Amino acid sequence: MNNDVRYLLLVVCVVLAVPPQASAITIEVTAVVPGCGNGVIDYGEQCDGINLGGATCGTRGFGGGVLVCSSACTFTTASCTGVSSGAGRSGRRAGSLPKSTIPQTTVVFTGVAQPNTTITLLKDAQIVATTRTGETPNFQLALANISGGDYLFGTYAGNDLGDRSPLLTFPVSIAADVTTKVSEIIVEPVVSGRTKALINGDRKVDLVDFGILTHWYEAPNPPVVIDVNGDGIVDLADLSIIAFQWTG
Amino acid sequence: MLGPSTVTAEEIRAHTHKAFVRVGEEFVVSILVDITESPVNALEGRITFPDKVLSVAAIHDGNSSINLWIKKPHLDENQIVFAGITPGGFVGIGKHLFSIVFVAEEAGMASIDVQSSQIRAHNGQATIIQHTARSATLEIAHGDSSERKEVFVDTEPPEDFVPIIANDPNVFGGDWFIVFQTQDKGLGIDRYMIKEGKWSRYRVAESPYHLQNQSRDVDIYITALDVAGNERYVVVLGETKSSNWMVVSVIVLGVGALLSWCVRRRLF
Repeated sequence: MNNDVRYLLLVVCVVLAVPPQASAITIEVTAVVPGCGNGVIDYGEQCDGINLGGATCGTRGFGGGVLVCSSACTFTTASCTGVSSGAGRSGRRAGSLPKSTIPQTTVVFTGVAQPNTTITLLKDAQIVATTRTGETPNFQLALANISGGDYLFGTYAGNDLGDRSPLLTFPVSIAADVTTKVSEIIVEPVVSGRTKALINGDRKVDLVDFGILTHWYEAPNPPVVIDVNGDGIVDLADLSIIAFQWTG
Repeated sequence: MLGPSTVTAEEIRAHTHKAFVRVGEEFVVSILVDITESPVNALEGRITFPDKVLSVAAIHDGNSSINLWIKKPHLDENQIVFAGITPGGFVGIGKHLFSIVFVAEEAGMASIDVQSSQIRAHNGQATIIQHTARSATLEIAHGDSSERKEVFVDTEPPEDFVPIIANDPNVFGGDWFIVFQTQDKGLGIDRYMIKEGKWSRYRVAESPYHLQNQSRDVDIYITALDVAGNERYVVVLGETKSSNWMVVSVIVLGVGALLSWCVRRRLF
């Protein structure tokens, strides 16, 4: 995987857990950021390799044992012993949904992003939910009543100035009639000037821009503003560029 | 396409589980892509096949790794053309683009080939990704097949979606148009139908759709139908309905006031 490309690869670990007191099934999925593994605790990482940043099982609320850094650069407390205080545990199992006896397909997303930003969630390239981080970086979003199948979800953070972070995408296979938890999503910081005024002049790159480009696809003499890469024709290259700039 | 000295694992391939079928038998060929290095976000190409030996019964683009089709996979002069993008990009082995249901028409060898394929990198410069294209080959024999039909089950409607009304000086002469797109996790979207106003008739539509009613004062109904006939419809409410009601209200009040004045003046 090319680490220069800021791309979030998901579905590294899938755990199927059936709470004994409920009929609802929960699937947990963990995100991994390329670049994790360089030994340096970067933004959004809890640890990196043997670099635990001074954390121990004790600081994570356990009595003892060995704290391990996972391949996702998050703490793994499986080897910790003693009783957890709860407050310091990994957020992986936090925030469970209310138990329901009626099966429905639900996806819950949790992660961290820059404080005081708006987090946008895309499902197959279209915006389906937004939330806002407060003074803390944690966020949670939920989707209900979608079909089982393979989805490409994406998130980015934006501020009030219209700046945003790169779009992070992660494929998730959703099973019908269960709750899927996608956790440890790490949204990169907001970057100034990320979104250019493409195609129709707004700061969004969405279905309207896609519609305008498909209208001119392989047509002769496209307007200059429509021809994104300026090669005289609207073709796959132009669509690829707006797919990179996509905001939904 | 790949030069002879280039080594790459990226590939678009036609894949089928069957190596041997009989005349009259249906079989499925999946068009898959292997992306092992950097993410990609745009693909296009065409699928060719011997049209005397094979015919196309259906094309299924459900659960595709392509989110937005520029050219939805379709039959065009005995070949299947496709082009689409996935905002945000994707990587992976055996990523599904679409499937073709073929019917074996004549005995012989049949090769389903991927031609003129393009893959673009998800890097903002649309860099061309070198790749190979692999064909699917199978033998068709005379004789009656006991497995003639492929059976597909899809009971889920297409995903919910939100159309957007917009205008732009470079499209439809600046008129209002509507864009819409959704996915189907089963067999795939078959078509979209649209009607402007409750009492008008549905017609097949493609996005972007040039609105007939430019005053935008009627509700717009858009139905997405999947290959199995399941449907999802959304309604975009007419924007000026409130002002219409205001006009009607003013007229009613005016008539009421006139009648009241007439009664007081004993004109009836």
